[in-house]
Amino acid sequence: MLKNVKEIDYDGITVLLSVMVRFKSKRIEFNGDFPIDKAVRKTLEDSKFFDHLKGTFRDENAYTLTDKNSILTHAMRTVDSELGEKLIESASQTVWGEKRRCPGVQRTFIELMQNTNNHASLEKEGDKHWWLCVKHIKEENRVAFSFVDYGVGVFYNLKNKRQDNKFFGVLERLYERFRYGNNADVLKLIFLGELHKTASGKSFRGKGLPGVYEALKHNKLSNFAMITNNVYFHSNGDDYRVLQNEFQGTFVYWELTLDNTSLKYEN
Amino acid sequence: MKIKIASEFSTAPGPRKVSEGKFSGELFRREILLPRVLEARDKKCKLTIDLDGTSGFGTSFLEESFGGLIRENDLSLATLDSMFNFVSNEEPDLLTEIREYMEEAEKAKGGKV
Repeated sequence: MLKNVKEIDYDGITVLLSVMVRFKSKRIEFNGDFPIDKAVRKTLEDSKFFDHLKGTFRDENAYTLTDKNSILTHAMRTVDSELGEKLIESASQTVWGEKRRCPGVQRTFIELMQNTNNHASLEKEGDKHWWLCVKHIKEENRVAFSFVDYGVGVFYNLKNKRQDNKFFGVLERLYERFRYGNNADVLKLIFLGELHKTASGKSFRGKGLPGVYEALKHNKLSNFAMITNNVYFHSNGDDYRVLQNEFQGTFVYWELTLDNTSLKYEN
Repeated sequence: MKIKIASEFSTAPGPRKVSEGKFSGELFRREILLPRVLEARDKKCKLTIDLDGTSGFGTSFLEESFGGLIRENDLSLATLDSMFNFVSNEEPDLLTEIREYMEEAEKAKGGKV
């Protein structure tokens, strides 16, 4: 139901696209109405969402949805570091007008893809797709990345670790650190590497989400936001919140801008 | 002896395991790093590992490559310490990170750090 949507951005369209492909690849009809709001309708039209809506999709390991404007959507089950490299080459041209390397963005791609591959399903690895949408905003020298998977999400995954897993019971131990703790408090600890420290007694500088958080702290990316299960985080204002509606999966948004650090491009 | 990952393996190092995607740490360790480590050990010479020039590293690639030498290939931290010379001018923090992975692998094996 899009009729009453008053505002939509490309991160929302990424979610919409991925849901549509999931439905259509399972041969489930996907239909609805059009937004009344003209601006919303135009954003959707520009994204070519309606063109994809007419298409047919099979259940495949990888999808690439493109348009002639500036939005690229990719979906895969495995980790594709070459795709990350290619996307950064093109993103850096939008941001700086020349090819550059951005190891923090590449690390973010790899950590998120690896998380989806390893942890999105409780049953088996490599079961779920990740979806990545890239939007080039040339007039602002800015590129926006939206990443989503429909796995079990960070907290549900941790809650359901088997007894022989090193993370078994770790969530409860993190909750104990707060008198009135919730998942938003725990996400803060996860970003700081406390999950590994609590599980193994050793604090790794980078592993998984802490690696992404470090890239953010070192100004390698900007405007980072994440939703997983009932937690929302936005880097602007260091804003952690518990949501009333739970999202089953993980959604991440970030930007590459002129303010971010980068390295000289090398062939 | 020297390994430059960007030119000898890939400018886009990937995930941990071969099953997870291309240019994994497992593949790098098996095909390039381990043979070179064994050769350097036999020849009693230093092995320089140049991390510069790539598009960036995931944490699992680094852990699997360097922690994996200790965990999977039964090499000791002391042996690797006496041999390795890392170069990472572009991302100096990687050196500390790799060190942590190697120490943790050594500890997990019951070795002293």
